[in-house]
Amino acid sequence: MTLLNPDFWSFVGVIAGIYTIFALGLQVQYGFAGLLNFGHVASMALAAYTMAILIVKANMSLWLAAPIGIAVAVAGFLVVGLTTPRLRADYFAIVTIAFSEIIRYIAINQQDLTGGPQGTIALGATGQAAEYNTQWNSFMGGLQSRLESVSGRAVSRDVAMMIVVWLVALLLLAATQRALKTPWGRTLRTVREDEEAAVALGKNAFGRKLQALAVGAALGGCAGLFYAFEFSFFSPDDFDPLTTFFAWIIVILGGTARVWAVPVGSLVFGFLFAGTRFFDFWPFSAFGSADRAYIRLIIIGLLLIGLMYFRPQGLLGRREELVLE
Amino acid sequence: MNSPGMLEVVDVVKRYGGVPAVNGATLSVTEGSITALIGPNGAGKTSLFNVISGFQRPDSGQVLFQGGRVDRLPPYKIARAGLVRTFQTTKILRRMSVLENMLVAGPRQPGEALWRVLAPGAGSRRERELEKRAQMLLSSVKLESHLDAYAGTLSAGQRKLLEFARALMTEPRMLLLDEPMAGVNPSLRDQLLDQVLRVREQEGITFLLIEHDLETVMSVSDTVAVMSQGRVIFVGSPDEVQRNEEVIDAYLGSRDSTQGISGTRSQLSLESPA
Repeated sequence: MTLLNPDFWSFVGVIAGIYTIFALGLQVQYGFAGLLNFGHVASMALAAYTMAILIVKANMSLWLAAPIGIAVAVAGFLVVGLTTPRLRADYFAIVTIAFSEIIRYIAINQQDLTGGPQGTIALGATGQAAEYNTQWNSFMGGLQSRLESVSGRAVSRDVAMMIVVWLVALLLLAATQRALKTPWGRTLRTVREDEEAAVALGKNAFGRKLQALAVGAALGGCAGLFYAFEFSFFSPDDFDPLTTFFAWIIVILGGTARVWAVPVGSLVFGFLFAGTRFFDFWPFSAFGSADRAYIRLIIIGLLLIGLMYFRPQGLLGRREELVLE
Repeated sequence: MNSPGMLEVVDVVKRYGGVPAVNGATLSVTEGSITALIGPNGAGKTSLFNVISGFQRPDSGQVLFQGGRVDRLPPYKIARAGLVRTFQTTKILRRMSVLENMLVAGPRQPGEALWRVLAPGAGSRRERELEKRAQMLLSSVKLESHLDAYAGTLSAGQRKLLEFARALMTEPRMLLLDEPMAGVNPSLRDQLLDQVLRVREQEGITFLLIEHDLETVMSVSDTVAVMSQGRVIFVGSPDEVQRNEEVIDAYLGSRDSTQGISGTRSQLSLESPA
């Protein structure tokens, strides 16, 4: 029975960890700096593609290609930020969603560069399946055997991956929490609350927004790298706008402007999406499996609506702040 | 106007879609003075404030602060130079505590730099200095018992007081107050006026304030500047302003040929306040 299969749940755990890092970037941008980034997935796409292309086409080491991937994600969003006058809320939302779609369409159409719609498997020469993660796999293999010798039992790749992803996620969560508690974090919230007030108090509001954008894109890029490692292959379809909105669901479900609400939101979201696959008991047993697939999505929708109805501030959010907005 | 002013506004024009809101305004504010800017609605007072504080660029003309041009600077740099404004409708940071509203206004906080966020104890010494000053200023406006409350829970009058205290937190050389008394009840208003006078006395801060409440204007200001149709039409002492016919025309409506100006005169006579 898959419901009790630990490999399945460690896979869910890995995905929740990747989404934690991804949504943390959005939390910094939206929850703290008030930026409506509807194209967050572009940071994932830019980092993942840059890394894969550099490794396959330029034979670059993973440990060099990965940080360059993150840097490209940051640079991409800085360009969006610098060319969108003043990063005003609604205009910015439209520009970012367009930006993420532009990136995705470039990935689809620039076949020589990205492998096109077939994805990274077509990155190499024709008729030759390209791999960007050989180095990562050998790193993970080494880690797996070390974990096995320490624990004295078999450790699956997903469990090892889950450990790595969550260690990085916890580190980033702690660092972000710390950063946001400093006077720097306070200026971000000031810009979120009232940009003109921030400016009138001598704060460079535009500069703060760019910084939030850069930090968020770096976190999104980091999530993109893990996404690429976890699936060993990806294509433009992985970076459609839905992925951005999953991050939005996580941030709102967990609670805005709360760093530790992000992992809570990600886990609830992950288990909601994965756990509902096993609703085959009564009354679901009365339906065929094809119908159950639709019913599952209806249930997810109802649960999300219910959560928002009873806790509009999110699981860890503060109701007072929702009222004062 | 014998010495060069703290603030010099020279022939400023600001048009919105071709319609001039400020149409050649010239004004000089002496250091350490309290100058009131009055005038009917639509005279261009707030627009002039927006130009002075850098929130709007003038179409022509100059703004000099402490002898240097500021009319091409971004507004946050003007604020850092010590020319700080408040807003007609208060701009408090609602989902931040009253204390945080104050602390964020503190200048020279090294902990505000992104590259220092993970450095241990960055800006913590400055933070303690700022906290001390914030508490002192908050108790001077009787908000010390609300330190940890969300600023959004304050009343309209308290928000005005918080915004005023927050502006002082920036360690300004000159404050531009846009209707600081609007919506503030009489006892808070007196408190605020006392603060303005005390701050001018102790810290030598120069004030330029837009105010409709003539009693306030006449009681605190050294100089009154009157704006009408985008221009400064008269500058003088409160007494002179009350006697000037042009001002009465512009500010209190045209003289009515049948009633004379007795009605307006009684509104302006403050020697025996009601």
